[in-house]
Amino acid sequence: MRQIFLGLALATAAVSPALAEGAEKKGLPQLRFEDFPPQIFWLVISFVVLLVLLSTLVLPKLQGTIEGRKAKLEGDLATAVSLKDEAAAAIAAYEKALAAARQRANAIAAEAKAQIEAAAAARKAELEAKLAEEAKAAEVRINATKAAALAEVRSIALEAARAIATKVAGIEVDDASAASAVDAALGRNG
Amino acid sequence: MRLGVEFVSGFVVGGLIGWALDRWFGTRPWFMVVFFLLGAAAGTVNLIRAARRLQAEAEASEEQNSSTRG
Amino acid sequence: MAAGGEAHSPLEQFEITRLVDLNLGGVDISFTNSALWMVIIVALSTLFFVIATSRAAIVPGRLQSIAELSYEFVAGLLRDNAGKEGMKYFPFVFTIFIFVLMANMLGMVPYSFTVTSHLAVTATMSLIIILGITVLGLVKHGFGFFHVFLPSGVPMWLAPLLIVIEVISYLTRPVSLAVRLFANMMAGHTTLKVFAGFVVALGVAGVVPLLFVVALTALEVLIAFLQAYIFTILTCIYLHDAFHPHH
Repeated sequence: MRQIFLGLALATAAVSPALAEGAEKKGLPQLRFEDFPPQIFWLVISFVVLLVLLSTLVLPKLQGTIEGRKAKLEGDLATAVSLKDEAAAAIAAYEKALAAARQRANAIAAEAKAQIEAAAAARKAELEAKLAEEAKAAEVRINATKAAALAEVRSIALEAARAIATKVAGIEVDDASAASAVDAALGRNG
Repeated sequence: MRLGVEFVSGFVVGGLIGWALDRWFGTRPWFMVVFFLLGAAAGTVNLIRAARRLQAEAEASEEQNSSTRG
Repeated sequence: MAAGGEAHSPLEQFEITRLVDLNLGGVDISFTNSALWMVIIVALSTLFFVIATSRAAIVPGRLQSIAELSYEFVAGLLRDNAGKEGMKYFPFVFTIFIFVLMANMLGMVPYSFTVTSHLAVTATMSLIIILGITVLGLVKHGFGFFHVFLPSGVPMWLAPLLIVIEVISYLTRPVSLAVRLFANMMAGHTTLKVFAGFVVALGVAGVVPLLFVVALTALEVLIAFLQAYIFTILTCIYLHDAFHPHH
């Protein structure tokens, strides 16, 4: 489309001398070479002036601002990172302290438990020993009573056997034969 | 427009060099013809390079888009 | 031509008129309307940037944002296309961008003069740029700079032909740089003027072309920016060759 416009412009330029409204100049103004020197001269002057003005007044300042902002952003970022690190370190320290406290509490509890258990065990052992001792004493007593009772039974039986023999058979039984008979009977039954 | 200028300027420069050489050696129109053809070749080279550059730019911007999207 | 029916030709806006006749050693250096607008460009650009950067704040105001945006824009163009070495020439490239942009934009103002619509201006700028870059490349690389003209890995029998083509291609740089800017500015402003002529000629019915002129003006603002951008980015790309002649 632009090519068409350009063609249009060039065509106008070609036709314009014919239509020239009393103009003494002809053709494209852009191709009038006598107009080149002043344009080139002032172009060089104004370009150099703009170059000098921009690179002295504007560009250093602009660069400073942009780099300053970059530096500040990077600085802020670094601060943020270090703050984050600090926070992480604080959290780690806190957790470490917490773990230590928990461990200590556990240790104390375990110690207390051990103490209590030891005390209980000691009391239990003591009680058991006492009970065993009492049981043993009782057993001894029972055995003694049993032996005494048995001895008594023998002597009663002996007496009874001599008395029965005297009364029933009218025979005087000496102690020795009576005792062996009783023992034999007791051994058979007992 | 961008590509058209690249192409046409090859002809213009080739033709100008040929014209100048013909004037120098008085060989009209042979240098003009030869350099017009060489200018066409140079214009084609320009055209290929410019097209390649445009494509590279388009791909680069596309990549940038996809990377910012992804 | 309908617009020609008006007293003014659409090309009249491109006329160079001498305001003050000056002469330096036989060379015509008259102060023309073109020179006047160049002075206006320099003054307005400087004024804008000085005001915009007068209160350098970490959190920028609107003007400062625009100034910083243009700085970062050109710096990005230069860094991406010419590399780190190119940053040394930042003030030069920045001035080119601002000068061309300002010239193109001021050309949109009614009754103004578009400095960049003249071949003399665009050709001078592009010649200085290309010559400067060539000299820079020769100083940096000496004879090695001529590698620009010979792509590596070319068979010997083809080399002479390719060198001629590459030399022509290199010589087209200032031509295309100059012609692109001048032709775009001229075509755009001529078209605007032609349609503006329609508006005046048609009177009440001129509303239709008026709408068209408004739309066209928006397009021209875009093109004014685009052409300044293209002029600058090509300068950066060519500058790259001065540092890296081996493609």
